[in-house]
Amino acid sequence: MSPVRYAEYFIVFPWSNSVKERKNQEKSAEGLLHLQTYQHVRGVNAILPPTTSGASRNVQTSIMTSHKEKYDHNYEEIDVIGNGAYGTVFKAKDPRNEGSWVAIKRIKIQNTEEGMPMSAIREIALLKQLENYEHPNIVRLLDVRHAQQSPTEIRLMLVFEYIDQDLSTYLQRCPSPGLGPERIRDLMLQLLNGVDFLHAHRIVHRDLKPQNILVTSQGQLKLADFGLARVYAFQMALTSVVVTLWYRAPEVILQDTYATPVDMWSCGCIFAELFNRRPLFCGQSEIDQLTKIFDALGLPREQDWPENVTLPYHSFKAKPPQPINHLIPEIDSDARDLLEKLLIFNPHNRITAHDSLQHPYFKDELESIRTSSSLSESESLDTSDCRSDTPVSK
Amino acid sequence: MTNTEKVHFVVNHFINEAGLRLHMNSVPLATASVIYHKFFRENSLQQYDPYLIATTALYLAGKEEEQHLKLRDVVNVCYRILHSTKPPLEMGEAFMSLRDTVANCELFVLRMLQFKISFQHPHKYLLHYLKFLKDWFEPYKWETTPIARSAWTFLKDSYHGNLCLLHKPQHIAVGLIYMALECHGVEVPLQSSVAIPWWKVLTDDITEDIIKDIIEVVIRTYEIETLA
Repeated sequence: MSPVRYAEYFIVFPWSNSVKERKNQEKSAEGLLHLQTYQHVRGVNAILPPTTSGASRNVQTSIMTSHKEKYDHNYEEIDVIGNGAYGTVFKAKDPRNEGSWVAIKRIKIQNTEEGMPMSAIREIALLKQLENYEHPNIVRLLDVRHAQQSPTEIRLMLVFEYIDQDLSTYLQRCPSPGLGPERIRDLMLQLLNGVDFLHAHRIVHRDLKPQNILVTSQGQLKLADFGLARVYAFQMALTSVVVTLWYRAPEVILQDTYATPVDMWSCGCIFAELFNRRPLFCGQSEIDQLTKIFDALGLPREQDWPENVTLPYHSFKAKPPQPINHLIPEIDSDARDLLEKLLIFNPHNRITAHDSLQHPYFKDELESIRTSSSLSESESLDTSDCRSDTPVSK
Repeated sequence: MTNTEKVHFVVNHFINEAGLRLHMNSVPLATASVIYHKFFRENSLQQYDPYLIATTALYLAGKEEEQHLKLRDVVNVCYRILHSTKPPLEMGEAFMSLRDTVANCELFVLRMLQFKISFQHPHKYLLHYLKFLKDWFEPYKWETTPIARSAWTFLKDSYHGNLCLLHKPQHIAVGLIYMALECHGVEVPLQSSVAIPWWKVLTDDITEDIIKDIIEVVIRTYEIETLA
């Protein structure tokens, strides 16, 4: 869609003919700017001789023009990837980048008399701002456009880079006996690194699970589907999609207030899944999910039970915690310690993403965190092990 | 001195005035101006009515900075400023079409700017740098010289031009403090006996040329004012 088509929406704006009128008024109006300092400025002019900096500005203008040409093109939609709770996801070709693949997520948001909702604008603007950092463990948001609008809804297209496998397919494709310990450590490091980045930018993912953690064929892990919770909220109310409970933190299930620690709980569940290649807690309902958590980890202390939740503490039977080794036979002591800290019931005591990266479990890799070149290194590390560190991928 | 610059100056003054009447804070107001300047960096004045874009920028900035303004208020205030001799806008067809125009234009501006409307402004840097410099001055000297107020004024006025698009926010903050010090003929104490000048301490990658360029742009903006 070209800008010209958008111009059709505009009613001729009666303000434009007032420009001249306005200028005349201003002449007569008293001091326009904060003029008490203006007198001094002339002095500076003499102090500092003018420099020629026109060249740098010209460069900027040319960048902007080419940029403008760039976004007037259409994506060629090839296939439906999924029908999520939040709308349809398409696989598409980007004609601009030699037909490289992109994933397009179409969402509908409410249109009101006041225009686009503030929460939607803020969250998309934040995602666009995050793009400046090009974090290695975050999926790239390449483009945002609104495809259509009506008086009641706006259709948005979010264009992401296309990665064909998520963590759950990655684990399914992984041959027996599963991932090697170095590969698990590397994936976990990338996961926590990505989560730490989101938390540092005031984003709570809220729905971390293997299905929205993507793994490239080079073994690079990228988080997807974050930061749009409030944008989605409108559409969520209209669809009856069952959202998985398995990675939900207990405070979310209990409907207590929650914050960044909910993502750390999910990281703990995913950590265990990397070892077992099956989910840690597979609850069928909210109560069942809590029961399964307490069966494994023991009933929390009464003082840790949140206040003001509808479910009383005493509706659960007291249980001793099971040793982690029963749940995950092959876990080593550092990994076990980290897992225990991720699965602490009380969110205030749960480890933060930032602290988890300093955990002794990662001590050998701390050097390579910043360089993010740990991938190739860790893959070559345990060739002696019969385990595959690079599960089959296309 | 081009005609375009004059128009942008007048329109940004309009943004400022409307923003004050709408009780907007400095940062949302700065966001509105940046949206406006970014829009017209890519588009020409012949194609789009600057006052429509300015009004939309104000409204959008309120949303982005979580100082939500009522669209009704924005339309009424902007109309009133532009037509101060006419009677205020009545509720009716004219009002409705203006309101819908701004609501539609909001989406258009978002698309033009690719939803990149979250900006880092020099304000917070300016505040911290000034607090840092304050400790170097004798308290009496600092109290009697309005360095902070001048620098803040320069910053607000700089949005009449497109300085915000030309330099990093950290650099703008330093440049404007430099300018304020020069204006008042004041030097940061002990500068002659240190190896690194104060502005280099505040932000590592700034150069004297950048400072000069920033000051030049601000002076140019003030020069437009005399002609506008």
